[in-house]
Amino acid sequence: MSLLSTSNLNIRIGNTPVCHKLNITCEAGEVWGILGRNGKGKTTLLHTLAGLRPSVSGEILIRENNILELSRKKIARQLGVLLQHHEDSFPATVLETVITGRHPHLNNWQWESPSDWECAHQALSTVQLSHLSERPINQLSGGERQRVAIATLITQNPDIMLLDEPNSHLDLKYQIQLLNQLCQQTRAQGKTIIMTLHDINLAARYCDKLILLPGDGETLTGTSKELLNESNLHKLYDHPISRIESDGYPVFITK
Amino acid sequence: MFKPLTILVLLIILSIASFLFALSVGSLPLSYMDILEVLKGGGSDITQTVILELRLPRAYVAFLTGGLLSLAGMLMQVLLRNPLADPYILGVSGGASVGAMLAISAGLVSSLISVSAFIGALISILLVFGLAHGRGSWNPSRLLLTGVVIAAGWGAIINFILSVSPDQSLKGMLFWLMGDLSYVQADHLSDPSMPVILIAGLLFSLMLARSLNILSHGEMQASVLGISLKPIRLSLFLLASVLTATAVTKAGSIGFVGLIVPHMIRLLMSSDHRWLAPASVLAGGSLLLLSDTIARTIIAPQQLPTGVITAFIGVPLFLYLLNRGYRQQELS
Repeated sequence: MSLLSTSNLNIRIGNTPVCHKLNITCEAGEVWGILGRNGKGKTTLLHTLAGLRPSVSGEILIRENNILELSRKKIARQLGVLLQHHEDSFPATVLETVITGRHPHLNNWQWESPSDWECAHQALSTVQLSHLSERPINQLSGGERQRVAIATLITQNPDIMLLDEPNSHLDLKYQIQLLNQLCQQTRAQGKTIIMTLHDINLAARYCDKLILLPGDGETLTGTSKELLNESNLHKLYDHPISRIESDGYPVFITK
Repeated sequence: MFKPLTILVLLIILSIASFLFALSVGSLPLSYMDILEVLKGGGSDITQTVILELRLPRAYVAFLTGGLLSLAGMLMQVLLRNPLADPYILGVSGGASVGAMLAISAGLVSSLISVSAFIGALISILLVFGLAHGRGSWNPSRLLLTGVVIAAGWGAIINFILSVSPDQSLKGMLFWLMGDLSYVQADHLSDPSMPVILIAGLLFSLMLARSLNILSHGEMQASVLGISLKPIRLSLFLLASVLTATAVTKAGSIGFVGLIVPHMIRLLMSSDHRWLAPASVLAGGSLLLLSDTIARTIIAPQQLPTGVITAFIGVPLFLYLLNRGYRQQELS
């Protein structure tokens, strides 16, 4: 059974088409990437898949259930999103923010159990922020704030993870470590990831499958191996790109 | 930052102390023994009258009003995600004020002034809700702007009524506008509406508390973590409005408490709404009760409007906590 799938999904921003008749099926253990230029609808597609904005037509299925028929809470138990922008209106600590990830798993009156706190501490140590757990969230740097958001998602522990620019603000070390960790876990535990990326090389390294959004409503979907070639990428980014080999891996550089 | 539980216990002690202080001071000073005697059903006739018919009803209304306003302020701040939000920002008190002033200028008795104020508040709530909801989207900035403009509209009507009113009703109106508890009567003790609404509001806030924590991180994130936005926006708006309307109709528009108390508690203990909600109720109640006690005794026999004293006490207290908070941040 696929974790997330779409049939004939049709999305627009105003009058601009983002995708037309998109059909994807994300199986357990797969990592998907969404590539495209600025403003071509990567984030919009991701938000639509999460049920955060409506589509024009077509269906989104979470484990064969139509997303429109699921409550936000039921969705949140299976699907988590790493948003691009983080808002902190009132001072909370890092740990208080990370523990919010347990919310969909708790009832109205329930307090977090020791195992919920354990999840949060574990997630903080995964993103290497345990030493800042009592720090007010508005005193963090951009990269630290991004890692707190990732820790919150890990605490939520959904089977479907939608990541919007997971590597933004992150140092190279954390980009690789965190993507390694998330993708390994996804493959080992039969989860799935869909992420928007700007870096073709990270896409080549981590993604099994790709959705390319050239921006005219037509989409290309398929395995990374098939899709990542010079002509597709030239069309996608409107700029010539060449492919070279290094240590047996493909590397893409701008001409 | 202190342990939340410690602060909560201290606030309970502060609340009881405020009550004892309010019952003991005044034109007839009473000892704690006298008060205890009366509460047990004994005491002389005069102490019974002073406590049960004058001081206790007023202390009771003051405390509940402070609690209602602080809770409403906390909810408004989360709903609008704006630290400057207070219970009056969306015009509830403006509507209530117009209702009250019309009743005062018609020469109605105080219980009818309350009814008229409540009707004014309700009209304002429905007006803001209808206009901000309109067709489709209901985001915080649209709600905020609608509310602020409606409040400005009420302000104009209030100024109009003030400028055409005869001198003898002006003082009553001005006291009402600044917040005044001097007309509280013994029968307020038997009126269950304030405590029932406050306790129901607190329980409802506690039920939503985890959602409120998440809502502070934005509506999108709240949605991602399983919160349906439409019902929670609506319940926050209605709950905060009803709490405010209840407070305003009984005590006039006492400013400052609803804005500052939730921030004080955030600085002192925690932004977790499961602690913030009960602590705000206790702290707001105590602040207003202490202020009112001072307002009626400091230049006795003359009485000051309560709203004047809340700011006199609250401003330096808040500035102290704010600076202390920043100093701690710089040190850490």
